Amino acid sequence: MSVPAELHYTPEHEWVSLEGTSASVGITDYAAQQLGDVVYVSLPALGATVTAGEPCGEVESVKSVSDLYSPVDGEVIEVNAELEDDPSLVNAEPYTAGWMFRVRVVQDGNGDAALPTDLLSAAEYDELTKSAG
Amino acid sequence: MPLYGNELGPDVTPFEAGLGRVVKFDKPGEFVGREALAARASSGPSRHLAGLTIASRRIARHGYPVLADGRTCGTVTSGAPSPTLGVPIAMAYLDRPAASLAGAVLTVGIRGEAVPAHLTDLPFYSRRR
Repeated sequence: MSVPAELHYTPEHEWVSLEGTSASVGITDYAAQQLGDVVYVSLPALGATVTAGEPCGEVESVKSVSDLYSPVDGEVIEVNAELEDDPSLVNAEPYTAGWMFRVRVVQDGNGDAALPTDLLSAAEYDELTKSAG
Repeated sequence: MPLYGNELGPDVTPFEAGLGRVVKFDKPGEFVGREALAARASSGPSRHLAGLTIASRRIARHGYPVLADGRTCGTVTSGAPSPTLGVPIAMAYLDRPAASLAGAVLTVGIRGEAVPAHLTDLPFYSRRR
């Protein structure tokens, strides 16, 4: 189970990749394995406002449906259209081809992306999944 | 295949679940429920088991409503993707025979969205011999 070191994570098993003032979001390898084969991903609409910690979509597998949470505050600027035809990308490549949506992150006073302070590092996330069993 | 907790339950007769062939009224001796079942067999089923295919990748799950032309007409008992058929399939109990719904626009309520569905025969698949 992989936990790339350069990403940030949430306790709800999303990963965040910050690129300037925008962030890419997906779910982790751990989450994809727990879900099983993903059959459908419901993504937020382009232009939608998302709020950190709030559900913004759904990930459905054969055995269950899980809420998809936004890790950041901002506006959705892009969604991964590939997932409509091939939701299995989430299982095969959760950190690359299985990315879900991109957000223009709300900026702080300095013009930097205002990331929530409670995002986890790779090491912290790894610890979380190990203790979950 | 009907499963207890989904297609079978304490309020479902074998006839409604498509298992009428295992009830033998002419066997020698009595069995518990013989009279009650004979009465239900002659009065006709109150629910009708139907097969559905779903026009989406989403799975119709136990308890989701089935609507005909926007009006609830039944409930999904179980659903799963079908790798063989290429679409999700489901079984549902309808409040009327499936044949009476020919021509109606069927949808399944999947977590707030009305997803198109189509009636199909049971069993969903028979291996060609």
